[in-house]
Amino acid sequence: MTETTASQQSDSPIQNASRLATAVIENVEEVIVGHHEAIEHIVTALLGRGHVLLEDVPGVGKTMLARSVAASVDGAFKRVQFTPDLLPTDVTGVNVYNQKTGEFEFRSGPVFANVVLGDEINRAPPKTQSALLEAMEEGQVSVDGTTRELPQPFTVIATQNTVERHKAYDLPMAELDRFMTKLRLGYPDAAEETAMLGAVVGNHPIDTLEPVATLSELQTARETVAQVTVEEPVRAYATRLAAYTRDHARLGVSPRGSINLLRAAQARAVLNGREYVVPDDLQAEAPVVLPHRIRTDSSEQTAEDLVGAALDGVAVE
Amino acid sequence: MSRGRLPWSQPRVLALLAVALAIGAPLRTMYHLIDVVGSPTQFLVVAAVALVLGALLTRVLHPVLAILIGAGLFGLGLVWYVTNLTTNPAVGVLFADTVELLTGRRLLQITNVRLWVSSFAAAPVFLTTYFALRRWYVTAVTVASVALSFFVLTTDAGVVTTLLGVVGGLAAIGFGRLDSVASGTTAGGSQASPTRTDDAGIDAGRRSVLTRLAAVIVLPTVIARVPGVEGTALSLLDGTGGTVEGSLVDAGESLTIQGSLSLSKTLRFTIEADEPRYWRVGTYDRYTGDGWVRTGTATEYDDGEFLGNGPADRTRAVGQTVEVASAIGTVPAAWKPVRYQGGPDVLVTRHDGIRPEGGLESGDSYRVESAVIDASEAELRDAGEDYPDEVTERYVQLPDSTPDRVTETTATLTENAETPYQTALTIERWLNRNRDYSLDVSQPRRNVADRFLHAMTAGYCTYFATTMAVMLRTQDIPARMTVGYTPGDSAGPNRWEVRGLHSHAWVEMYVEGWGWVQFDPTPAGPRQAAEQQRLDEADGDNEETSTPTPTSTPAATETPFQGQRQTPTPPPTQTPRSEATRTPTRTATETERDGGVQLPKLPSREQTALGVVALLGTAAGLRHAGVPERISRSLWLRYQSPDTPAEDVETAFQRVMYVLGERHRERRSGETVRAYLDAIDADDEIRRLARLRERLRYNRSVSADAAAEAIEIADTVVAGRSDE
Repeated sequence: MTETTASQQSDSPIQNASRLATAVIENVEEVIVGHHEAIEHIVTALLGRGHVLLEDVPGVGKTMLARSVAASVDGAFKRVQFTPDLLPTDVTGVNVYNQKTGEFEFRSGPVFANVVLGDEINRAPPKTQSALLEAMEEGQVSVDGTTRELPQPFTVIATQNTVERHKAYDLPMAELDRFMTKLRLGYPDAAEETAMLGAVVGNHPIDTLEPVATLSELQTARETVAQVTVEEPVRAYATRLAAYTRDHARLGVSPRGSINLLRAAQARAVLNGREYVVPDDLQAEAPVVLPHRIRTDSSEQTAEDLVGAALDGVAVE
Repeated sequence: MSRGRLPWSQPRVLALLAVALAIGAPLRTMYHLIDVVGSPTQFLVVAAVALVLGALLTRVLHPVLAILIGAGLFGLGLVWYVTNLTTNPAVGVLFADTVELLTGRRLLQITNVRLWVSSFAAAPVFLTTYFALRRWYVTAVTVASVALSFFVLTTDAGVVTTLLGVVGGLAAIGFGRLDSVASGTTAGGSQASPTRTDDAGIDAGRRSVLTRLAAVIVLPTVIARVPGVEGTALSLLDGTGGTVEGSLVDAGESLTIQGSLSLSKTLRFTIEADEPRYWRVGTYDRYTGDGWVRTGTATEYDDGEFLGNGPADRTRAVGQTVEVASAIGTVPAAWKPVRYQGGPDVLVTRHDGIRPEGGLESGDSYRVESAVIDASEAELRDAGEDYPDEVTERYVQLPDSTPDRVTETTATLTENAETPYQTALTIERWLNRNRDYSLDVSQPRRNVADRFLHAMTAGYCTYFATTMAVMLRTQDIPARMTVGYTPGDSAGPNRWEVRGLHSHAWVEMYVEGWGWVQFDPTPAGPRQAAEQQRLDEADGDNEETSTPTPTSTPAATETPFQGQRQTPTPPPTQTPRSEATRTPTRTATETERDGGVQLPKLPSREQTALGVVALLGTAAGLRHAGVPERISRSLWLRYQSPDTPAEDVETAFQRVMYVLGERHRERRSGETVRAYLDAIDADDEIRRLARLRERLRYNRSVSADAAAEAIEIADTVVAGRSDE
């Protein structure tokens, strides 16, 4: 690709970040058969300082995908299985009394990690959910009046089931808004499923998965992504998209949604080895970044439909 | 939406103007007819009364009643006309006359044309006004069209007048439709559901009407330029370049004075006679301003019947035997024919001339005996002004529009003449000496006599004869324009060969007690010179004898006759150019004189109006078709002038996108450039340009090199476009 003079230099930050992203994707694909786009979206969220919500029926590989991504980065990985009786302190950590020292000491919860997998987040009661969500938004945790910084980089990959709704606590919109992207995996097609079955009947490949990026490399890449140029025409395009959803739905995309869209687009640009965002990047990310922030007027039109209509209808300039 | 409520919305005003134009065309024709024979006051009053009546009754009268009133007016006119006729014709004759009118006989040939027009003007004016104001535009236009069609069939309506009427009719229907839509009324007059039409719709409709009108005007004009059509009835343009003979002798019942003409060399007939005379074929009594019309019908003639020698009691018999050499539609004979014997049947015109029932073919022959007036000049000179009524009724008519200055100039010129004959001599001599002979003249637009007398410097026999006849008539002296042939080339004792180029026009004046006496104001000398010049020009050409090509002949053409005329008019001035009065024009060069009036001919008001409509409509049509945009787009596409690098890249990109839009499809608004290029499978060059522009737009980075490259790519793509 004859992209730009800057990115053609092998040591440019963009090139490095792009290579890192590609390496992670390829690594994850060692484990996950198919779902290429979903993997890309997760990686862009990872690079774009966002969090990911995977929503689907059980058994399509949500957890495996999240684990693969986490395993590809050489950082702390924690997993929280959300259940109805899970307490907020089970997530954030708790001060326990040390009888030897006679002092309270903080025993950090699973949230203190670089990649946190929150499994079936909608099984936990809202109070517990909000503990995680506060960590996601603030990058810090407050326990008993003490605020503790979370490690950087920090990414939450949460999953939620769409079955057994009566046993679940649906995330409120305000909290959904904090996820950069919400993905559905869907069933793999027949060929992919056959290949996947062949790959996992023996030793599961995740057991041998090696990290391809260090934490510092990931952190550098995230900084590089943050520096990607977003020119006025692209910002205006994002604004128009958001305005369109606000005009055509009961609840449209919030400014935070627009920010997340641009961040995802920045990461997408880096993934493509480009140091500036083009509308194509927005169009690639919008279907996973915007819908969960939208509540449509009617039940006949889904939020995904509305975003599709916005992408068709809003002029690219 | 106030448009619908206003009683005088813009479409309505336009529609009514158009209706006025549509009914104006037949009215204009009628006015012209009236004008030829005298004062139009009566006609104007009738038309005005009908107009006011129609306007007043619009609101109160039911349409059926209006049609009945219209029919009643027509019937009244018919009764009025028939009862006012001096003769008492049978119904069959009236019917036959009507059929003749509808098959091309000019209304001007009707003796009492003024009565006719005044009788029949009321009905169409009333009905058109009534229906137009009722918004029944189609009906109104139908009435006007029927009136106009009648005059078209009688050939009284000119091409331009007809076109104006047609344009008016079409415009009335078009704008009327708009008006109906705007006011929520259908053209039929019944109430329809109110249609909401916005201004844009009205504007579009107006442009559409204008476009169609332009097509109506422009298409025939273009067709008229197609080879083979030019000069025919389809042509709006003046047909010029005929022959003198064609314009005179073959002109039939009416004669329009033409522009430039040429001479035909074809041998028409050989005549054996006791003495050379002007061989007369017909005469015209009604002057229309741009030509002459022969009124009245001809009666049958029994072979050998004696016609009488009129008021002259002392005449000399001149016998003539004619052998026709090529087809002619006339029976040439010396004035005044009293007895005819021959193969082809002939008719006697109201003007005591004879004309064949059909045509004469090569090989036909006939014998005519003429009674030539045998009077001395003194006798003619002393003749008074006591003319018979039937002569003054017919032969002193002038169009009302004839400018007064014709009368004034003639009066000044003939101040010293004491008798009509002296007046005629003076006029003849004056024209002879003060106007040049030229076949190459531009046709005057209005009154020919006035133009020839006051503006032109040269003309041919028709101009001379017409002008002299009109001048005599301004002095209340009966005169008429006569056409025929000069004696021809002598071919042995008492034998003359007459060719097409011998055709001629001259004047006959009625002399009390003697009848019609010939005058020829056309100068002989200059004409010979002009002919000699044409002969020189034609020298290199092949000698043609049988085809009627415009060539010239040896010197003795239509000239040498005046001296031999029995009536002792002064001999033709052999050296007219040496006269003192000629001095001013002698400074002009030869070519200028030959060319007559050389000023470019300005279009008439009617032609200008049509031209404006045509221009407007064409412009509207072009705009509607987007031609200006296309032109500017095309220029923009091909020629990119360098600007800042950023502008260059952007313009180059837009050019390519335009070409791609033409070649494949336009980029949809929600489609990114990349997606679009993928969708149309664009080549690498175009993608390269898209990247350059992408970097400019989304990264604010551009260089002069990039700009140059972008322009180059765009030029290649645009060039490739025209190759396709």
